[in-house]
Amino acid sequence: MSSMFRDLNVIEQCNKLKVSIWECPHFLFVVMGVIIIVSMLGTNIIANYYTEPEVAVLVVMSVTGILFVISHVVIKSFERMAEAAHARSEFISIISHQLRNPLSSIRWQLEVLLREQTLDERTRSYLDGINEYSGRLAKLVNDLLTVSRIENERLMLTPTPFSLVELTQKIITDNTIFASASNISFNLQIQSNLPPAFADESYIRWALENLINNAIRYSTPRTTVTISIAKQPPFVMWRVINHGTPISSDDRRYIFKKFFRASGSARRHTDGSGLGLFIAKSVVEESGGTIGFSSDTAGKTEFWILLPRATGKNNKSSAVIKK
Amino acid sequence: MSKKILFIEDESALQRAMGDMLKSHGYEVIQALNGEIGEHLAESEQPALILLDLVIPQKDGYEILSELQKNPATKAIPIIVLTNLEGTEEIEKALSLGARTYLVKARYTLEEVITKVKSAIGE
Repeated sequence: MSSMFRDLNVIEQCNKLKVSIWECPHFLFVVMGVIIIVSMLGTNIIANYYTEPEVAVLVVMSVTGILFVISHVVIKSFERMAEAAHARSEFISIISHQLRNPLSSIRWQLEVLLREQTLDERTRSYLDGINEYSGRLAKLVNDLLTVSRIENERLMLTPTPFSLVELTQKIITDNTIFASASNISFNLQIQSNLPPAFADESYIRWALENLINNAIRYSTPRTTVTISIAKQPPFVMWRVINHGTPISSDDRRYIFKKFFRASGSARRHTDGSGLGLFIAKSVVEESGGTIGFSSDTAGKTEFWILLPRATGKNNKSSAVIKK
Repeated sequence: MSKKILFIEDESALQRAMGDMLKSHGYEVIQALNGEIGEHLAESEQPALILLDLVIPQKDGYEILSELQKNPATKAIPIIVLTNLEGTEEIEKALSLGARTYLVKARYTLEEVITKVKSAIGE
């Protein structure tokens, strides 16, 4: 209810958009509404005094003219906002590309150095630290680029049949150290005779990694993260359940919005970008699947994904999907 | 005899890192810092595979792909594009010009690139 009143606060909405009041669509709509009401009343009053039809026509034409001008200003205002959003997205895309080359250089050189057997423990520990942080930076840059592609409708997915089980096992193996450090264990439940899924494996891997990573991050120590994979024709269902910090009712509607982070998460965890669930949702939905979640007050949170299963038909048509 | 890999890339740091990694896996590495030299070396050295960046001086990656495909002496050499561009248009263009595989540098570790190299030359 309070959010509805907030939406009606025109000044607050205009301040949020950071545009002048005469460029703010919320305000201009109110002005247009007032003009329509006043003009209807005025026309009624004038019609009572003047019986000549020319006068009524003149009034209607004047009001139409004013409304036309205001509509034009509203449309221009929307155009400016759309252009600004596009320019911002392009800016992110260009900057991310520029950041990628030096980052690739750093990471590849580190990879070569870390293969050296002769490194002393202190040097190795510093290099591991640099490697970890450059990895985070690379992930953030990649995420920003993916968001920019989603927003510009240039996300490229190449669906192929793949095993969700093998993919999940790989991700669990990669996350074992992280889970163990947080005193969390994994439980993988797999239904027999599962068909392969049909989607872009690298992007789905990215989405599952994010969901598993979140499940570990928001779990209470000494609990288990359960991942299950089952048939749900015509889909394959993948679920991850954890026990820990519940998602508050205020946060639920924003959970898949970009840059959103659950209440208090900015204080507790500083390495999340708030892009993971936004990208996961876009990728899953663009693959023809769905994503959802539930969270109870006891702290049990479940995220699930339904992905199309591979069939004879879509196996043959593993074409590139352009969003 | 070790197989030759030609790496066409203008960033010397990437050349060094990739070169070291390829050598540690038993390959002979030929390096080219610009497109013209890269194209010349592809014909004269007949590598088993070419790793090609798209944004390089003198001749860009697309021109090289196109020239190598036209030349009967280099047509059969598998080419892996290794770049940080990942737009739909760039990927489609490179693949249509004859690239075997398209990899985005920022999304691959060197070890993963080596796996792709091995797979492309049938090892």
